Amino acid sequence: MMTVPTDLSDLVRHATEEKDVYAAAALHPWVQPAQRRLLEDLWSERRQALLLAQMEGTPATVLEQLFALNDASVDARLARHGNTAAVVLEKLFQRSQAGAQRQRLRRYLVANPATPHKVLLQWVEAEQDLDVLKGLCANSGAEPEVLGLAAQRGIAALHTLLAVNLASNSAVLQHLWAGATEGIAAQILGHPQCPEALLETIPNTVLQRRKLAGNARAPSPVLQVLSADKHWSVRRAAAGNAATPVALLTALSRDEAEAVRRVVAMRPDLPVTAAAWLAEDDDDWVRQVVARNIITDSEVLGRLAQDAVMEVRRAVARNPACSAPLVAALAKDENEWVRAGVAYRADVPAQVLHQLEAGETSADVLSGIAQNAAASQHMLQQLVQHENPDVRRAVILNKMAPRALLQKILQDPYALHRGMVLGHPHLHDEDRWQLHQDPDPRVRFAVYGYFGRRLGMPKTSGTTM
Amino acid sequence: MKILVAVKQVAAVDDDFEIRADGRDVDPDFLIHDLNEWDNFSLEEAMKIKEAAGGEVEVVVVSVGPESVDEELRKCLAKGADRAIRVWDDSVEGSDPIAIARIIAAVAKKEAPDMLFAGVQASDHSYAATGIATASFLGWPHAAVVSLLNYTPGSKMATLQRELEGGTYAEVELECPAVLTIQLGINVPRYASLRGIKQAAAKPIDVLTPSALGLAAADVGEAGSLSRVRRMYVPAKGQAELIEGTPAEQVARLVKIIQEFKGV
Repeated sequence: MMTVPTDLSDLVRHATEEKDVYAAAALHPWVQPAQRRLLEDLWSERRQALLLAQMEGTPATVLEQLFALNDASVDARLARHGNTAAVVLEKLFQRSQAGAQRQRLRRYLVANPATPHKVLLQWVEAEQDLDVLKGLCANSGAEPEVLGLAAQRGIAALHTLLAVNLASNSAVLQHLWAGATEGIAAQILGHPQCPEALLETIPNTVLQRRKLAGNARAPSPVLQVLSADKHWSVRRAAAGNAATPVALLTALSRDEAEAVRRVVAMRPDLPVTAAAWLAEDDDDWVRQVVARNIITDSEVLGRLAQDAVMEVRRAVARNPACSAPLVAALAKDENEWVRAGVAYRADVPAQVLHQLEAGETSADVLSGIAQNAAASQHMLQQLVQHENPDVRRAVILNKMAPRALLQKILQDPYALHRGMVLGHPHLHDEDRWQLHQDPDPRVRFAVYGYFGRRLGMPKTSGTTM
Repeated sequence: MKILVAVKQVAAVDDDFEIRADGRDVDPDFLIHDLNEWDNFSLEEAMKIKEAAGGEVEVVVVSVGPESVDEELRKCLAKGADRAIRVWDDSVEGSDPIAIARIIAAVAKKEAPDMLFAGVQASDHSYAATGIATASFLGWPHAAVVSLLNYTPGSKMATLQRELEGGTYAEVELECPAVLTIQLGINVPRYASLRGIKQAAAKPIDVLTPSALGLAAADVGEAGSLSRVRRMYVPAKGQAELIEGTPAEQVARLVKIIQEFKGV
């Protein structure tokens, strides 16, 4: 039996004795400065620094330490990393004022949503490199003031990016509207911040009407007109818009275009009579969507459960409103994908699930059973050793899986499974610590990260994976 | 009965990297190493034959490279290979696929396997030459891009399917011993168990030098190669423009671009 570390010094000792760069990176945020220096010695080679600067999940404290290396290639990776702190990005900006690779660094910095506002402001008015400006205009973390200044530069190549950037506000979009091409105007009409006045006029082109019809802020009278548009793609956009009045849905459910009926069939506010009508549709896809819709009544679902098309029956099996007798009937369906739909239901009665278990060989159905909290312990015992990794993985997702089964997954050949099982609440810390020398670095990173948080966080904060 | 499986440690790069000072390769600090993807399938095919024969088949993996290659050889041992051989000394540096094939052929002469498997190609340099060149040095029958294999240990013949262009296949019969280059998808490669990985860590790897295999200095390295990388570089990006607007506006812009290129 391995002894689980009881303090951070113990963890640091393990990481340094193993010379484990991944363990050291995971521990770094949780330990004292003197311990950090011991860990930092493990990534003193450039190769390791480059690796950590690229690795998803590298903590911000490690990235900040890597900044001190003053290595242009490491800097480029830091500028793109999602965990790099704003203060480091600002320092990178200062560093980007000179150096052979400054343009590359700038392109990455302006595109990082965490780059501070004041840094972007310094760039937006004076920058000449079009690629840098494009990165800035596509930055979803940029503030409207920055995007507005970019729009005022009058560079046409930036306007599409600004029109699709969700951070653009109505003032930016209003500025772009004057002289906008058809495509940019359409993007503005579809933007959540589209100026109010623009939403009240029916555009001339199909593209613009389609984007307007999909805008949740479009006024009802406009949506009424667009829901009767001569082009099916506009009517389809209106059918999918939650703001489209319910009164229009009955007409849309009888639209001549399948694409429109497919969209209207999935609306949670669809009138029951329209759902019944759509359940008789010649198009399989329409019937499938209405079979999945929670408002479809049980009598209609009963008919759809008899549908010749497997996907329609599967949709009934996945519908939360499907009645218990119907679920039991679908559990005996000849098609495995339909039975799998039953197996994945959280509310499937234990008796039905046990019937499904008997003699089942389909990996899809077995995966559904394996993740189901109602699955029998006997069945889980078999599934945890199943040859198909999807089935074994589903056991990890089962909140009721007992510790003894989860311990078997600690030996699973798939590193992904070993990493996933660490987060299961039924596992004990002595189980988790067994993986601290796992051959896969991602697993070791997760183990040390867990214990670092557990021992390094204030006691009142609790610990979760 | 013995199957020799030639494997390679390949290198991958991320989207930003630096070229080495001599301009002939990527700076090694930027390389991420792994076992060549094709070699997982070659090894699995050998393991399937071994397991079907009830353990009377020995699977030996061989690779040419420095000490870091041991990591890939241990992966093969963890999956069930019986032995691993690595060939290296400084004289091997700079070898092209022909020189590497000469080394693998020398190992094959020493080991005298009944079959030699290699991947169709390596994912890093994509020469697709080493396996077939090895067959040439040995003077053995060979088949490339094998997507199905029927072979009973001890048999003098093997039947196999080769993947050809246009979705066609060729069914081929050939005498053994033979060299086969194995295609992706021929089987489902296994994952090494944790126990296998731990056991492999303790297994010895035979390290041989070219001279121990009877090869002269002129047979390996740049001296024994038929090609040499002169320069490695990232080509300049081409220019592209997304033409927006109405069909009429798009046509007008397209005409303007054509006129600019033609100098009208």
